[in-house]
Amino acid sequence: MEEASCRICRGEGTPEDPLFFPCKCRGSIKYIHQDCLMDWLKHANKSTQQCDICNEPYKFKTLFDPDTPKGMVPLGLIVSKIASSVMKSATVITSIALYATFVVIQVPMWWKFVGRLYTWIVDGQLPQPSIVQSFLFGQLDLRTAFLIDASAPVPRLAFLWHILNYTYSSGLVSIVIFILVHVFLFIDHEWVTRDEGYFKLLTKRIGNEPKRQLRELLEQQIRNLRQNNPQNVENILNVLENMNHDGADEAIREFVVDQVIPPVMRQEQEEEEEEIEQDADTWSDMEDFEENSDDDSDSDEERGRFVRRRDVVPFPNLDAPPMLPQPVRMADILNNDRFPARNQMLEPNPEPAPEAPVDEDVPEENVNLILNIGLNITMPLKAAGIADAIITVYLFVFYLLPSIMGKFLFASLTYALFGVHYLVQKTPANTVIAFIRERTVIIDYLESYITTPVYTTWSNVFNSRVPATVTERIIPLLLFYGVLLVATNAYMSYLRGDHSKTNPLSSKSARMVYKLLFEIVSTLKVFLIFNIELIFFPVYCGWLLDFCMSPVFSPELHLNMLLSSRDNPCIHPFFTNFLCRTINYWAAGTGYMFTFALFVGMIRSMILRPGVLFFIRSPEDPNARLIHDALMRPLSLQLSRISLSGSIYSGLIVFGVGGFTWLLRLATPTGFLFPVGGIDAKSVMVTNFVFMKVVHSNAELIKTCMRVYWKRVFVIVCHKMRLSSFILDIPHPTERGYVVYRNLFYRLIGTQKPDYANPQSYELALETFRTDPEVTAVFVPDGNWVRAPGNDAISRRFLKKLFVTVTKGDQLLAAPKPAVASRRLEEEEDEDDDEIVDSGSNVYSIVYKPPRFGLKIFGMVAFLCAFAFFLCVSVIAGALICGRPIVIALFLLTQSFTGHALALSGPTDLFLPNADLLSVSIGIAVEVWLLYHFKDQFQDEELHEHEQLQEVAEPAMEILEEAVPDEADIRALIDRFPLARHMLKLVLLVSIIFASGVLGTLLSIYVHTYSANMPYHYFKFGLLLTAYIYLTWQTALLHSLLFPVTLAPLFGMLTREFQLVITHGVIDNNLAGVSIRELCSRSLFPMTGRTLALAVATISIFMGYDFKEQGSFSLGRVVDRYMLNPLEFSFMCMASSAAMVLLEYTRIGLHYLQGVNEEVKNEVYARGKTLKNIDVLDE
Amino acid sequence: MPPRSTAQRRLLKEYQQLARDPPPGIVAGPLDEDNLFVWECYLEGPTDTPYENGVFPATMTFPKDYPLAPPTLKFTPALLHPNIYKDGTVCISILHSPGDDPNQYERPEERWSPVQSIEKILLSVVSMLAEPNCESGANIDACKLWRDDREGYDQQIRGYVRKAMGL
Repeated sequence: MEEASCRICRGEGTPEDPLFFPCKCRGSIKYIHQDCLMDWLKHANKSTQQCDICNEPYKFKTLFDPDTPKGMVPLGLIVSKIASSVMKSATVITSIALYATFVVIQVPMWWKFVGRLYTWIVDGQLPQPSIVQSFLFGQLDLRTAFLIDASAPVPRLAFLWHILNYTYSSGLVSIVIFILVHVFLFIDHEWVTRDEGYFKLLTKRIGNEPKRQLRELLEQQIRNLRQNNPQNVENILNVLENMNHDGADEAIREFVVDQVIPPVMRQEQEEEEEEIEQDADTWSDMEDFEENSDDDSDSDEERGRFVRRRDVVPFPNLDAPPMLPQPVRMADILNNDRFPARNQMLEPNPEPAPEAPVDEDVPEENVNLILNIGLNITMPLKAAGIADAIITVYLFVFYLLPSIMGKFLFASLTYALFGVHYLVQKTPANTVIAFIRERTVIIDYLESYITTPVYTTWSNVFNSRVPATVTERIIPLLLFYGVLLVATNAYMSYLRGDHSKTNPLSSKSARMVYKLLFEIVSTLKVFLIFNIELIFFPVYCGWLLDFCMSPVFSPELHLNMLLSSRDNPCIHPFFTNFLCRTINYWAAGTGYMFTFALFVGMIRSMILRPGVLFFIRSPEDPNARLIHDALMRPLSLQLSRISLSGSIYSGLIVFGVGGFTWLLRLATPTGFLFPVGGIDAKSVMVTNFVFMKVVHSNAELIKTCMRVYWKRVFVIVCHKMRLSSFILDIPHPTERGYVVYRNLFYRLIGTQKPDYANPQSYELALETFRTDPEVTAVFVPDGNWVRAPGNDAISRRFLKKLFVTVTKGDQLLAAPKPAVASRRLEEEEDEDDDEIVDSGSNVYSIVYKPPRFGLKIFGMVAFLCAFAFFLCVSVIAGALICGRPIVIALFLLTQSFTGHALALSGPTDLFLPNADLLSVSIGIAVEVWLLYHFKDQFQDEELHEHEQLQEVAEPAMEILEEAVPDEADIRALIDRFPLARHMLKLVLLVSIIFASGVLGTLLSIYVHTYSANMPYHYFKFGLLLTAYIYLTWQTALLHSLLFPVTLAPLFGMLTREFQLVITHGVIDNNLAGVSIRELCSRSLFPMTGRTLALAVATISIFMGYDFKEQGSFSLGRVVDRYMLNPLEFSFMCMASSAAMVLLEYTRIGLHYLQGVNEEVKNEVYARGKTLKNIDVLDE
Repeated sequence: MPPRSTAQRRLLKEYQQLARDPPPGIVAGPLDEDNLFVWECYLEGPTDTPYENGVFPATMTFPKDYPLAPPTLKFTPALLHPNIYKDGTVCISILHSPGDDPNQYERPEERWSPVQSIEKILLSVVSMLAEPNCESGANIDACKLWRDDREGYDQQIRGYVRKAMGL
């Protein structure tokens, strides 16, 4: 066998450079030098460092100095290491803290201060006696705010609180809104300017960009050349070359050659020669460099660059224009700014950049670079300074100037308007004011929100009083901005003049101004429309919903922060303020609209005839271009559309929701269902856990169920309204007319069906009644056939030809009306031209349209609303019926072994006459379960109805035939009769979920509530018990402290065990495959165990509570009773969590120390890395 | 001049190895003892193929960072073969470095690695002469000819071999 050699360099191992065998390869390629391997890995540049042949990852080990200590390194080293890392992190933390301070605190304050300063400038006086107070409190009325005498000293804490509350929080909100608005504006701007319609519109207004004269351009270029940089001649020549290819004017070429080249030629030549010499020098340097570093892989590339550089012919030869590395395009010539960069590129390359030294600071620097913030002390100061400067300028431009101008405008406008009036009437201003008041007191709302502020503003201007409300300040601002907008529009139309696509605007500066203004106006237009649709509209819907839903919820509900504005002592005022309520309204409105959109999508795709909802754009419409439409359509048209859909929504909400809720509320003042009460934090949590999980995992099922329900409803309603053909495309011959009865008696009682095969006119029917006493009912047809859209994606132009009366065989009954040739319509069409031109979707169908069509449609919608309401009410009532007994059972269960009601707010709440959330949510879970097990009943109902009946009937018959069954037979029976098995498992489900899951949840929440509330109340009020979870800042802190100890384990438990129950247990399809024993061992036992543990904790709280009630606390009695005082228990909870944290930190600290030890070893004692050899057992 | 770089050391080793224990039908060595980076090779055509009896000269050029990067092999004069470009450059997976694989045809382990050697390359080329791979052809005409008209292909090769031998 030959001697061992490296598989890369074929060299032998030496004491300095030994051979390793770091992978599983054996034989002639077993060995490798470390340097060779490193070279190869660097060259191959692969992500994983592994052997190419055997795919074994290479392993390295650190070589340590021989005198490295075995365990801990000397303490001094560790201390210095920790000190240095502390120093480093201290800098980082300080700078982050500074950032936080400046961004989160200083900038909002600065915003407020600058805003206030500008306000004073506008007002001309300070709102507070001293300037500092003015800065700190602005317009706040200090006397009412502090509820104290002005003379008494202000409590320090209250002082701070008001600064925080009044100045800081509003500043923060302003900053956040500012950022949001500007980010959205920016995105909006990007969308708009990239939209194809934008340029189309611009072209239509002012025509195409006029082609600039080539000669002009070149002349300009040459001027630049003479002044700045003769090297650009190269570029000019290149342009000439391109022009040759494009067949451009030869005269220009000659012009350039004559005028430009000679003066700069000589200079150019000299320079280029110098360059060559320089290049040669660099080249030889380069060769030296290469020889010194043969294995440097970069050298090839460098050389390549130099070779390319040499290839550039350094003389501007007119016959053969020089080849640049990249030919300069015409576009570059047009854009002069790019030349400096290009010229830099053409400069001879300096020495190759030295390889960046690799040291340990690199990763950290990278992190800082990624964050793009210098983590040192001065950067935050600079950033804050820049932000402050921006704010100062921004507010100056967009607040101070408009305010002053607006005030001025307001004054001049009122002078102008009322000056005339004054002259005519010769009455003082007061009469005018009285006149305005007299005329405008129409609605209180209008007066308090519009006319009074306007009037006050006006009188402020005249009497130089300081405005008292925000509205009064906003009015001049709005006035100014409105005037600005009008002026801009006027200026734009002036600029536009009679220019059009064919008659372009040619003046360069005018074009530029117009383009800029057009950009701003387009962006603002789209912004406005999106704002209305996405923010204003949902808030409006939410507000309506609040009004309509308020009868449903009882006033004492804690939930009312969600929808209504009623005050609740348990909730911090922050959550009920204007902004928060607006956000709640917005969320509710958006949710409603989203649900409604889902509903419309469902009936559109599943129930309705295609084309019925042609006027609602489908969300799946591929032609929908929101930005494009918002940009292209005229603003007035869009606003009218939005207001139309707004009124439809209002009608739906007010009458469809509010009508029923208010009716029900008024009809049943202390009704069975309303108002919904008994909602507290516990039941909300239970609802979230049980109900959401169950509903979510059965969403498909519920959807199917909804579909079936609505299909049924539509069939019934449409048939009643004789709209089956129009809405559902179900031709119903009997709908094509009405039945005339002999008299009212037969109408009510009449069992005789009219002869549908023999329709008669009304007169003929009366005639028949007279002639034939047998006939009591006659079918009288009416209505007609129309062409209706057959597709949701039809174009609007096509739509105009529809809804004409035809025969059944599609023959027109009347001549089509001549098209109204209005100019406006045509224009509109022009703008929509690019909308949908797809002729394939323009189809219509022939449907029956009954007389009084509009009324029938309205009736149908009303019926649908009624059915929707019926659905909601029956679901809730059913849930209540199912859920209430379970809740009662649960209540009794908990009461029996703790002596206290755990489940609900109090024992009196249990037998509430009205709905409570806990029962409803549990009931809904049961309802979903029932749905699941009877889903075959309603899935494809018509088809399966018959079979289903048979299936149920057969086993029932067999049961009757059976004799006395033994156990096996019962089992067989159970297997054969699925309902019984399901019932058994239902019992099990209930016991599992409620005995362990819900009970565990309740207990955990209970432990949490009491350990959080008791100390708080004890210290605050001297009481020990509270029924509510109070939401204040202090308790929030307490809750978050307690959370890891009390509730976090519950979350873990619930997610794990409910997962089990739901995926393998009762609700899932696998139900049949899982035996009851398996179910118990999987879910019931572990859950019960945990629940018991929690129950013990709870019981101890309660017994401790009793204990506290009875007497004072002493250790002896605790030992006697093995119980703890609730206060002590709370402290124990906190102490145990503190101990846990302490333990955790000790562990982390030890770990950290170990890490530091290793790091120090690596830093101080490491002598390099070496490959690890791998031993493979041969054979 | 004693060899300094890894490449030179390794080339010298391989040259010594080849000289000491030459594989049958292959002769290879540097053109000039002072420049180890250009080698001249003579490959004997494999038996039972149209290349039989031919001796084909080729030039092997090594990069400066050999063996990290693979050498190139060029038949002078060019040879008609599906895997040889019209200028004579051989297209074979063992001569492609693992980084660049334009077509994703070749598995990584088939490609160049410092573990390979000149001897292995030349053996691979000889076996390539015997069994062309038309899936990743370098000379489309040769590919077509080889696939559609094997007789004509063989005849052209034999004619070429005969002419080269001066017959």
